[in-house]
Amino acid sequence: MKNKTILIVAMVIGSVVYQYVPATSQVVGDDSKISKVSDVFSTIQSTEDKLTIYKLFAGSAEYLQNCKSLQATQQFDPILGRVQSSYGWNREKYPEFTDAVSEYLVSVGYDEPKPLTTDEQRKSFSNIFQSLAEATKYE
Amino acid sequence: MSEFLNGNDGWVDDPAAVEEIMNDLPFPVFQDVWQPLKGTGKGKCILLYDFIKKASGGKFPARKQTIGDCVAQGAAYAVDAVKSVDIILNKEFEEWVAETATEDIYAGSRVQIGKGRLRGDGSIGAWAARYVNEYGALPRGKYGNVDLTTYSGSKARSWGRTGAGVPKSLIPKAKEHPILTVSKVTTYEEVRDLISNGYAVTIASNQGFSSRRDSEGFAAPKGNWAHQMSILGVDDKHKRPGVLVQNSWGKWNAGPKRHDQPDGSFWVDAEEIENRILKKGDSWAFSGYEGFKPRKLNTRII
Repeated sequence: MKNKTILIVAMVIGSVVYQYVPATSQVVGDDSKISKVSDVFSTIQSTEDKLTIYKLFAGSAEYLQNCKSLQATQQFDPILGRVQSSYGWNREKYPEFTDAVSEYLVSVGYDEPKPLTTDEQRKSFSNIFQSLAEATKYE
Repeated sequence: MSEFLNGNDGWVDDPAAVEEIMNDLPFPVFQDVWQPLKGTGKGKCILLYDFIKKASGGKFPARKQTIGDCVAQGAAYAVDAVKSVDIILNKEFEEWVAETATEDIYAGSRVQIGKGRLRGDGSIGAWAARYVNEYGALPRGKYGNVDLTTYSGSKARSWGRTGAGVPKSLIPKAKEHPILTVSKVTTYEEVRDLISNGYAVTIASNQGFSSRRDSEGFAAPKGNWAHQMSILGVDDKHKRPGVLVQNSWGKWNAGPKRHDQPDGSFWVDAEEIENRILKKGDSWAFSGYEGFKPRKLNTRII
């Protein structure tokens, strides 16, 4: 519950940052994969869904950068899942977009569990979501 | 005879069998290797059940035995504690998966280790310690056509019959996950120092306890139980130094608690645990579990 609250707060901050601060590039891994995420994202019609997707990624990046309670990357997904539920977001709503994000995540090694015990490890994991946030900025 | 037993104990007092097991162990007596740890637990309060709660995501195993397989139940709690310490305290890159299964430990202790010499329910603490050391321990789950997802007393009894034993298909999988060392313990100070360093301890004796905890969470010695349980905490800084004993009879007792202790547990004074249980000679320290590496993460996250 505490983790979920912190992540929701991070998402609100992420959404504010989105509106007022120009983002710096944080791209990790395969450029073609992240470009594909961006391309498929641009085909989504709903402005509301686009903003939710951005908030989920930007908030995750912010949360992971600062949260020291997680010991390993596999502990994050259940938290993200609960936050998505609280936003009324269903995974695979846009299957092609889910595919693109999944391919990107595999390309950067997200699927291999890793420890999150140092600032460097947290930053590296956070950067994956920062890149997704960059790729899903809706303008 | 306690009203709670109804055959739900199951420890067999056999000093000769314990001696036989000790002959095969590299560190049969903890006292031989105690020196580096001696005194390190003095004045400390260490709650292994908190590590189990944390590692399991709040799902502390609520064990309730239905046959005389207490030896396996106590050993399984000790394995749960050791694997949680590895994850939470030692930060080993492993995952909890599920609570430790008991059927294989029970059958393995009786058949693979004890060679099927016991009739009726029950086993020996040393046999269970030897089994998890030599053959390992598995979390609840499905292993091919062997389903260990939910506790089954009848399955434990069936596997534990002379000539049966742990299914052959399960043994290679279990052997990937042994408890690395087991040693006999005989004093409160040893237990205190062991628990403080992340070991877990099984205890076996004929000593029973009251089902009513006193105002400080302690249970007074009462009656006779041929029973194995597990020590999942030590509080040496309290005015009454003692250990937290976890039973495997579900919510069988009542009364005040301390340190958010689990249901079914009770504190025992240091002097009582040493004189009434540890001196009996079938209590074992477990350390280090060869755990499970985390599986691949789901990448379909949006």
